[in-house]
Amino acid sequence: MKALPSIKIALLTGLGLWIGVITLGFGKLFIYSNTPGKPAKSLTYWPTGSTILRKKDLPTLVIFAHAQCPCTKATLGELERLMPKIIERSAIYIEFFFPKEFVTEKSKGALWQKAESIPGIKLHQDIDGQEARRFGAETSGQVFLYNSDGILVFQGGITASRGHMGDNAGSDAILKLIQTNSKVDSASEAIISKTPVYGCSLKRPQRSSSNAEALTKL
Amino acid sequence: MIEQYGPRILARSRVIFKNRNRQIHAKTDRMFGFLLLFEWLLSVIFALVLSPLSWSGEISETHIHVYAAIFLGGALATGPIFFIFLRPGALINRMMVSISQLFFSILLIHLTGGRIETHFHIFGSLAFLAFYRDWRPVALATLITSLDHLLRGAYFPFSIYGVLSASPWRAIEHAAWVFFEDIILLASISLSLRGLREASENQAKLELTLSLVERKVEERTRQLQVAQEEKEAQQLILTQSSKLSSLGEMAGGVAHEINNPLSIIRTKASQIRRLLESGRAEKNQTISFLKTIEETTVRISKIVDGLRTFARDGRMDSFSSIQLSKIFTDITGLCQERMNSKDISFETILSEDFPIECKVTQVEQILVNLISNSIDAVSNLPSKWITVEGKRENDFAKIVVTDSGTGIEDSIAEKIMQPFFTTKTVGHGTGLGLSISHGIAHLHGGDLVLNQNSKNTQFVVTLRLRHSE
Repeated sequence: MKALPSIKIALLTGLGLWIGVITLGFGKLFIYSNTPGKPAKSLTYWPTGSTILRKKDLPTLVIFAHAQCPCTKATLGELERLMPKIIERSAIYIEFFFPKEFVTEKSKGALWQKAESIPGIKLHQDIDGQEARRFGAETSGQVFLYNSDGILVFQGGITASRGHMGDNAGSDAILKLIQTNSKVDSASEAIISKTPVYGCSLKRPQRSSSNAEALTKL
Repeated sequence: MIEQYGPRILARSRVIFKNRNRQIHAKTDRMFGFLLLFEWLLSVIFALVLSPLSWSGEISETHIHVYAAIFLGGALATGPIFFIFLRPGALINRMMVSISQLFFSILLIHLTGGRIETHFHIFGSLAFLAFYRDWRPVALATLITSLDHLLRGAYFPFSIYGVLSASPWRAIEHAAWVFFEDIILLASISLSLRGLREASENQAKLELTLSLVERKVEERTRQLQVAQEEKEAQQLILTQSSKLSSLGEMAGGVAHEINNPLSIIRTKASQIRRLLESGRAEKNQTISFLKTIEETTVRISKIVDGLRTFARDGRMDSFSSIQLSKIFTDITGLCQERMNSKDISFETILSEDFPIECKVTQVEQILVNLISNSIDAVSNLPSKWITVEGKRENDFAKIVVTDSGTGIEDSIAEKIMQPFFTTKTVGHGTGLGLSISHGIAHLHGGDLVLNQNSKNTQFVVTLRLRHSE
């Protein structure tokens, strides 16, 4: 068998390395995109103490979003697509997470503006994530759907992956549930649809907290 | 003409086709080099604008998209560019570009949050890849897209279709749109290659035709050169023949010209002998007779010299400088007796003597031809005269030969310089004199023309004075 010249071996090695780097890079990106955020500690009933006014005659949809999370833009995009089909049959709220020190008129950001431009949605500033804690939301893009009786029927995200618009199971489930209003006699009978949530964390990471504490001590 | 060269045309057209294809590949490689750099830059801009930071509560850090755009986008762009720079037009470049384009599609779709508009990048990339006019990069891109959909559809349907279980038909539906474009692109590539192949064949035919024509032209030129050389050789022979003909015509006169001085010599020699025999010889008288003999031999010598010069084959002569007066003297010596015998008065007019660079025997041949024609023309006229006038006009010598004739009819004048045209009776002229003289005048950078504006018959010879430059 004829031996390959060294230049060819070098080129093939280079090609192999290149393919390796790309595969590795895209693999990492794929894993990142498809790793959901922390799921919600879901409550079966509408949380007591919530400042959000739940409608008694309609299902209520509550979305928790980090005001700066780039991935949540896709969630708003999906919501916008859903809106024409659900606007008449549900009450829709978005709770935007704002750290206390960032609450100014200017800091509402592009996501808020985007949400504001969608008719039929009520926006709230969730200072320091108080409302999120009440609902048990951990990740930006978290959606809760309660039926008119205040029973949770859906919790999860409405994007297929991190920051990725397109067909997704969450939107399909919400649409179906709102259209039927998913009446159940009690929470124990309710079958809660769940989908993964992709987005930024609504809470400071534990490691960062430790760092912050360390800094405070200094 | 070229049908018999079928295999040769085929071989050449294959080479042309291959070269043109390689040029197209190299050119498209360069285009993709710039496109990949642009896509890299675009990814970085998208990442910085759309997802610069990721958040955890109030803590932010650089988003993974920014790193992906810089490093992954950089790897996608620089890998093929490096290979393109190394070996432009190579197959490996096209395949790498194909991989790179498709992965840029994935990256850009990712960075823009799966915007449906960004999915058009896949279709645009396929169309751009078709610029290579090679089905392989298009096929590879299609394979990557199909595999991506099939594998993700099978193992991670949520990531691609947004549902937890997707029908295999979904992957086929997505791939079908790519195949739909592929069909058009591959048909276009096939048509384009067919056109290129035809153009290459036409060029091969054209090249062959040109080479055959060139060969034919060379062959014909060679034949013409041979014919020209033969013609020139013939011309020289004719020139010499014409000269000998003129010489023959003048031979009688020349013989008479020599005979007269010989008679003088014989008479004087006889007188000296008789005086010496009778013892009445006086010194002064004897010296006078001997002087006459001496002068007469000089005269004979001149005539013989002139004759020898004229008769000599001047074909191989080089241009040499000679006074015009010397030429006039030579031709007078050659023609004088013939004119005397016909009672023709002859005069040479030279207001200013000057040198002329020429082939002496040839120039003398012109003048002898013209004078000879004039002698024939005027011998039966009541008024018989011939003049030869020489003068200088700028860089030319102008020699005008005029006789007492009243000119030449236009119908004859227009043919007069043609070879073998003569108005003389059979046996009295070759019809070559004027045509040869005309040729000689041209050889000397001048001309020989009949001046129809003159009331008498007049020929004007112009000759360039210098030829050395």
